[in-house]
Amino acid sequence: MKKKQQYELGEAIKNFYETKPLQSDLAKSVANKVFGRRKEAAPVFDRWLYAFAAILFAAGMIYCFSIVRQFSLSLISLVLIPAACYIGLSVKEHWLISKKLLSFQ
Amino acid sequence: MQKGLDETYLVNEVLSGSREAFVKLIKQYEGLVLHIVTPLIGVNEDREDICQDIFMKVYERLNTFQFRSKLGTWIGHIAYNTSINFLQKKRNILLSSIESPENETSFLEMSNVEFNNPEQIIIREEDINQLNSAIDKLTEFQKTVLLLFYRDEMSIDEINQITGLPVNTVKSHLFRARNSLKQLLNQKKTL
Repeated sequence: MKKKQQYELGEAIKNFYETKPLQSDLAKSVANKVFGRRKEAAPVFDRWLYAFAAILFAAGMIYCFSIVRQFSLSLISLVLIPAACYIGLSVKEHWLISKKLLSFQ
Repeated sequence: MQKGLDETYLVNEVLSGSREAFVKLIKQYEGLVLHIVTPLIGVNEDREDICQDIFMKVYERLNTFQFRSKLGTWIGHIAYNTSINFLQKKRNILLSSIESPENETSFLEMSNVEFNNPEQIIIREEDINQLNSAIDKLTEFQKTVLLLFYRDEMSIDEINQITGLPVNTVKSHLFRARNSLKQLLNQKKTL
Protein backbone atom coordinates (compact mmCIF):
# COMPACT_ATOMS: atom_id res chain seq x y z
CA MET A 1 0.00 0.00 0.00
CA LYS A 2 1.33 3.44 -0.88
CA LYS A 3 2.17 5.62 2.15
CA LYS A 4 0.36 8.90 2.54
CA GLN A 5 2.57 11.93 1.93
CA GLN A 6 0.78 14.58 3.98
CA TYR A 7 -1.80 14.88 6.74
CA GLU A 8 -4.39 17.40 7.88
CA LEU A 9 -3.66 18.71 11.43
CA GLY A 10 -6.47 16.76 13.13
CA GLU A 11 -5.54 13.58 11.31
CA ALA A 12 -1.87 14.01 12.25
CA ILE A 13 -2.64 14.64 15.93
CA LYS A 14 -5.02 11.67 16.09
CA ASN A 15 -2.59 9.29 14.46
CA PHE A 16 0.82 10.50 15.58
CA TYR A 17 0.65 12.54 18.77
CA GLU A 18 1.49 10.40 21.79
CA THR A 19 1.00 11.28 25.41
CA LYS A 20 3.67 9.65 27.54
CA PRO A 21 2.00 6.72 29.36
CA LEU A 22 2.05 6.39 33.13
CA GLN A 23 4.77 4.29 34.72
CA SER A 24 2.38 2.43 37.01
CA ASP A 25 -0.57 0.22 36.10
CA LEU A 26 -3.25 2.79 36.89
CA ALA A 27 -6.23 0.41 36.72
CA LYS A 28 -4.62 -2.14 39.00
CA SER A 29 -3.36 0.33 41.60
CA VAL A 30 -6.68 2.20 41.84
CA ALA A 31 -8.69 -1.06 41.95
CA ASN A 32 -6.37 -2.29 44.73
CA LYS A 33 -6.99 0.87 46.70
CA VAL A 34 -10.75 0.63 46.25
CA PHE A 35 -11.31 -3.11 46.56
CA GLY A 36 -8.20 -4.12 48.52
CA ARG A 37 -5.37 -6.32 47.37
CA ARG A 38 -6.33 -9.62 45.86
CA LYS A 39 -4.20 -12.67 46.51
CA GLU A 40 -2.56 -13.62 43.23
CA ALA A 41 -3.21 -17.18 42.05
CA ALA A 42 -0.18 -19.45 42.31
CA PRO A 43 1.56 -19.96 38.96
CA VAL A 44 0.89 -23.29 37.22
CA PHE A 45 4.49 -24.45 37.81
CA ASP A 46 4.17 -23.88 41.58
CA ARG A 47 0.92 -25.85 41.71
CA TRP A 48 2.54 -28.87 40.04
CA LEU A 49 5.52 -28.56 42.36
CA TYR A 50 3.26 -28.59 45.43
CA ALA A 51 1.37 -31.63 44.12
CA PHE A 52 4.62 -33.50 43.46
CA ALA A 53 5.96 -32.61 46.94
CA ALA A 54 2.70 -33.83 48.54
CA ILE A 55 2.91 -37.21 46.73
CA LEU A 56 6.58 -37.54 47.70
CA PHE A 57 5.76 -36.74 51.33
CA ALA A 58 2.94 -39.33 51.43
CA ALA A 59 5.19 -42.01 49.91
CA GLY A 60 7.94 -41.17 52.42
CA MET A 61 5.54 -41.44 55.34
CA ILE A 62 4.30 -44.86 54.23
CA TYR A 63 7.90 -46.05 53.83
CA CYS A 64 8.86 -44.67 57.28
CA PHE A 65 5.93 -46.43 58.97
CA SER A 66 6.94 -49.73 57.42
CA ILE A 67 10.45 -49.32 58.87
CA VAL A 68 9.37 -47.94 62.26
CA ARG A 69 7.08 -50.96 62.87
CA GLN A 70 10.21 -53.11 63.27
CA PHE A 71 11.46 -51.13 66.35
CA SER A 72 10.22 -50.92 69.96
CA LEU A 73 7.92 -48.11 71.19
CA SER A 74 10.57 -46.57 73.48
CA LEU A 75 13.07 -46.31 70.64
CA ILE A 76 10.44 -44.75 68.36
CA SER A 77 9.55 -42.19 71.08
CA LEU A 78 13.22 -41.36 71.53
CA VAL A 79 13.45 -40.28 67.89
CA LEU A 80 9.92 -38.92 67.32
CA ILE A 81 9.64 -36.56 70.34
CA PRO A 82 12.81 -34.50 69.58
CA ALA A 83 11.87 -34.49 65.89
CA ALA A 84 8.37 -33.18 66.69
CA CYS A 85 9.84 -30.50 68.98
CA TYR A 86 12.30 -29.43 66.30
CA ILE A 87 9.63 -29.21 63.58
CA GLY A 88 7.20 -27.40 65.91
CA LEU A 89 9.77 -24.76 66.88
CA SER A 90 10.82 -24.26 63.23
CA VAL A 91 7.22 -23.70 62.15
CA LYS A 92 6.66 -21.23 64.97
CA GLU A 93 9.82 -19.30 64.08
CA HIS A 94 8.85 -19.20 60.39
CA TRP A 95 5.41 -17.91 61.32
CA LEU A 96 6.88 -15.17 63.54
CA ILE A 97 9.35 -14.05 60.85
CA SER A 98 6.72 -13.89 58.12
CA LYS A 99 4.44 -11.89 60.45
CA LYS A 100 7.28 -9.43 61.15
CA LEU A 101 8.07 -9.08 57.42
CA LEU A 102 4.41 -8.42 56.59
CA SER A 103 4.25 -5.62 59.15
CA PHE A 104 7.16 -3.87 57.34
CA GLN A 105 5.27 -3.72 53.99
CA MET B 1 -14.75 9.91 21.64
CA GLN B 2 -13.87 6.57 23.16
CA LYS B 3 -16.07 3.70 22.28
CA GLY B 4 -16.24 0.66 24.47
CA LEU B 5 -18.64 -1.10 26.76
CA ASP B 6 -22.11 0.33 27.15
CA GLU B 7 -21.90 3.16 29.69
CA THR B 8 -25.06 2.26 31.62
CA TYR B 9 -24.02 -1.37 31.94
CA LEU B 10 -20.49 -0.43 33.00
CA VAL B 11 -21.66 2.08 35.61
CA ASN B 12 -24.23 -0.33 37.06
CA GLU B 13 -21.66 -3.11 37.25
CA VAL B 14 -19.19 -0.85 39.09
CA LEU B 15 -21.93 0.31 41.46
CA SER B 16 -22.82 -3.31 42.20
CA GLY B 17 -19.22 -3.81 43.35
CA SER B 18 -17.56 -5.42 40.33
CA ARG B 19 -13.80 -4.96 40.43
CA GLU B 20 -13.48 -6.14 36.81
CA ALA B 21 -15.97 -3.51 35.60
CA PHE B 22 -14.08 -0.77 37.44
CA VAL B 23 -10.79 -1.89 35.90
CA LYS B 24 -12.47 -1.80 32.44
CA LEU B 25 -13.83 1.67 33.14
CA ILE B 26 -10.37 2.95 34.10
CA LYS B 27 -8.75 1.38 31.04
CA GLN B 28 -11.46 2.87 28.82
CA TYR B 29 -11.05 6.43 30.09
CA GLU B 30 -7.35 6.45 31.06
CA GLY B 31 -6.38 8.00 27.72
CA LEU B 32 -8.88 10.82 28.03
CA VAL B 33 -7.73 11.59 31.58
CA LEU B 34 -4.10 11.61 30.45
CA HIS B 35 -4.93 14.05 27.64
CA ILE B 36 -6.36 16.42 30.24
CA VAL B 37 -3.86 15.94 33.06
CA THR B 38 -0.58 15.77 31.12
CA PRO B 39 -0.76 19.19 29.39
CA LEU B 40 -1.69 20.87 32.68
CA ILE B 41 0.57 19.03 35.12
CA GLY B 42 3.41 17.80 32.90
CA VAL B 43 5.13 14.43 32.90
CA ASN B 44 6.22 13.95 36.51
CA GLU B 45 5.46 12.05 39.72
CA ASP B 46 2.49 14.28 40.51
CA ARG B 47 0.78 13.10 37.33
CA GLU B 48 0.65 9.51 38.60
CA ASP B 49 -0.87 10.58 41.94
CA ILE B 50 -3.39 12.90 40.30
CA CYS B 51 -4.59 10.22 37.88
CA GLN B 52 -5.11 7.84 40.80
CA ASP B 53 -6.89 10.57 42.74
CA ILE B 54 -9.19 11.26 39.77
CA PHE B 55 -10.35 7.64 39.46
CA MET B 56 -10.79 7.38 43.24
CA LYS B 57 -13.10 10.40 42.99
CA VAL B 58 -14.88 8.81 40.02
CA TYR B 59 -15.56 5.71 42.12
CA GLU B 60 -16.72 7.71 45.14
CA ARG B 61 -19.05 9.91 43.09
CA LEU B 62 -20.29 7.40 40.53
CA ASN B 63 -23.60 6.96 42.37
CA THR B 64 -24.30 10.65 41.67
CA PHE B 65 -23.80 10.27 37.90
CA GLN B 66 -27.24 10.66 36.32
CA PHE B 67 -26.47 10.00 32.63
CA ARG B 68 -27.31 13.59 31.71
CA SER B 69 -23.98 13.82 29.90
CA LYS B 70 -21.61 11.26 28.46
CA LEU B 71 -19.62 9.35 31.07
CA GLY B 72 -16.40 10.55 29.38
CA THR B 73 -17.46 14.19 29.73
CA TRP B 74 -18.27 13.65 33.42
CA ILE B 75 -14.94 11.92 34.10
CA GLY B 76 -13.16 14.59 32.05
CA HIS B 77 -14.75 17.29 34.21
CA ILE B 78 -13.46 15.60 37.38
CA ALA B 79 -10.00 15.23 35.78
CA TYR B 80 -9.89 18.89 34.76
CA ASN B 81 -11.05 20.21 38.13
CA THR B 82 -8.62 17.98 40.05
CA SER B 83 -5.72 19.17 37.89
CA ILE B 84 -6.70 22.83 38.20
CA ASN B 85 -7.06 22.54 41.97
CA PHE B 86 -3.60 20.97 42.12
CA LEU B 87 -2.14 23.75 39.96
CA GLN B 88 -3.76 26.44 42.07
CA LYS B 89 -2.37 24.95 45.26
CA LYS B 90 1.08 24.44 43.77
CA ARG B 91 1.49 27.79 42.09
CA ASN B 92 -0.66 29.73 44.50
CA ILE B 93 -2.35 31.67 41.67
CA LEU B 94 -5.90 32.37 40.70
CA LEU B 95 -7.51 30.27 38.01
CA SER B 96 -8.80 33.33 36.18
CA SER B 97 -5.26 34.55 35.54
CA ILE B 98 -4.30 31.40 33.67
CA GLU B 99 -7.47 30.52 31.85
CA SER B 100 -8.33 33.68 29.88
CA PRO B 101 -6.44 34.31 26.70
CA GLU B 102 -5.48 37.92 26.09
CA ASN B 103 -7.75 40.16 24.02
CA GLU B 104 -10.51 37.61 23.88
CA THR B 105 -13.10 40.21 22.87
CA SER B 106 -11.11 41.35 19.91
CA PHE B 107 -10.58 37.72 18.98
CA LEU B 108 -14.33 37.12 19.02
CA GLU B 109 -15.04 40.12 16.83
CA MET B 110 -12.33 39.43 14.32
CA SER B 111 -11.94 35.70 14.18
CA ASN B 112 -15.36 34.06 14.49
CA VAL B 113 -15.70 33.76 10.74
CA GLU B 114 -12.16 32.48 10.48
CA PHE B 115 -12.75 29.97 13.30
CA ASN B 116 -15.78 28.47 11.63
CA ASN B 117 -13.91 28.14 8.34
CA PRO B 118 -10.40 27.34 9.50
CA GLU B 119 -7.52 27.33 7.10
CA GLN B 120 -6.33 23.78 6.60
CA ILE B 121 -3.00 23.02 8.19
CA ILE B 122 -1.25 20.36 6.17
CA ILE B 123 1.65 18.50 7.72
CA ARG B 124 4.05 16.66 5.46
CA GLU B 125 5.20 13.22 6.41
CA GLU B 126 8.77 14.39 7.06
CA ASP B 127 7.46 17.01 9.55
CA ILE B 128 5.41 14.54 11.58
CA ASN B 129 8.26 14.00 14.05
CA GLN B 130 8.24 17.73 14.85
CA LEU B 131 4.54 17.72 15.69
CA ASN B 132 5.00 16.39 19.24
CA SER B 133 7.61 18.99 20.19
CA ALA B 134 5.53 21.76 18.56
CA ILE B 135 2.45 20.75 20.59
CA ASP B 136 4.54 20.61 23.76
CA LYS B 137 5.46 24.28 23.22
CA LEU B 138 1.82 25.43 23.37
CA THR B 139 0.37 26.85 26.60
CA GLU B 140 -1.27 24.40 29.03
CA PHE B 141 -4.83 25.36 28.10
CA GLN B 142 -4.18 25.47 24.36
CA LYS B 143 -2.69 21.99 24.57
CA THR B 144 -5.59 20.61 26.61
CA VAL B 145 -8.24 22.04 24.30
CA LEU B 146 -6.35 20.98 21.18
CA LEU B 147 -5.95 17.38 22.36
CA LEU B 148 -9.57 17.07 23.49
CA PHE B 149 -10.77 18.47 20.16
CA TYR B 150 -8.55 16.50 17.81
CA ARG B 151 -7.31 13.47 19.75
CA ASP B 152 -10.54 12.66 21.63
CA GLU B 153 -12.80 14.12 18.93
CA MET B 154 -14.81 16.15 21.41
CA SER B 155 -17.11 18.96 20.36
CA ILE B 156 -16.67 22.54 21.57
CA ASP B 157 -19.74 22.04 23.80
CA GLU B 158 -18.25 18.93 25.37
CA ILE B 159 -14.96 20.74 26.02
CA ASN B 160 -17.02 23.53 27.56
CA GLN B 161 -18.70 20.98 29.88
CA ILE B 162 -15.36 19.45 30.86
CA THR B 163 -13.42 22.64 31.48
CA GLY B 164 -16.23 24.97 32.47
CA LEU B 165 -14.60 27.57 30.20
CA PRO B 166 -17.03 29.66 28.14
CA VAL B 167 -17.56 28.36 24.58
CA ASN B 168 -15.86 31.42 23.12
CA THR B 169 -12.82 30.94 25.36
CA VAL B 170 -12.56 27.33 24.21
CA LYS B 171 -12.76 28.48 20.59
CA SER B 172 -10.17 31.13 21.30
CA HIS B 173 -7.71 28.62 22.80
CA LEU B 174 -8.25 26.29 19.87
CA PHE B 175 -7.81 29.05 17.32
CA ARG B 176 -4.61 30.29 18.93
CA ALA B 177 -3.30 26.74 19.31
CA ARG B 178 -3.77 26.11 15.60
CA ASN B 179 -2.07 29.39 14.70
CA SER B 180 0.85 28.78 17.05
CA LEU B 181 1.28 25.26 15.70
CA LYS B 182 1.29 26.55 12.16
CA GLN B 183 3.96 29.11 13.05
CA LEU B 184 6.06 26.61 14.99
CA LEU B 185 5.97 24.07 12.16
CA ASN B 186 6.76 26.72 9.54
CA GLN B 187 9.65 28.05 11.66
CA LYS B 188 11.24 24.62 11.70
CA LYS B 189 10.90 24.32 7.97
CA THR B 190 12.77 27.59 7.39
CA LEU B 191 15.56 26.75 9.85
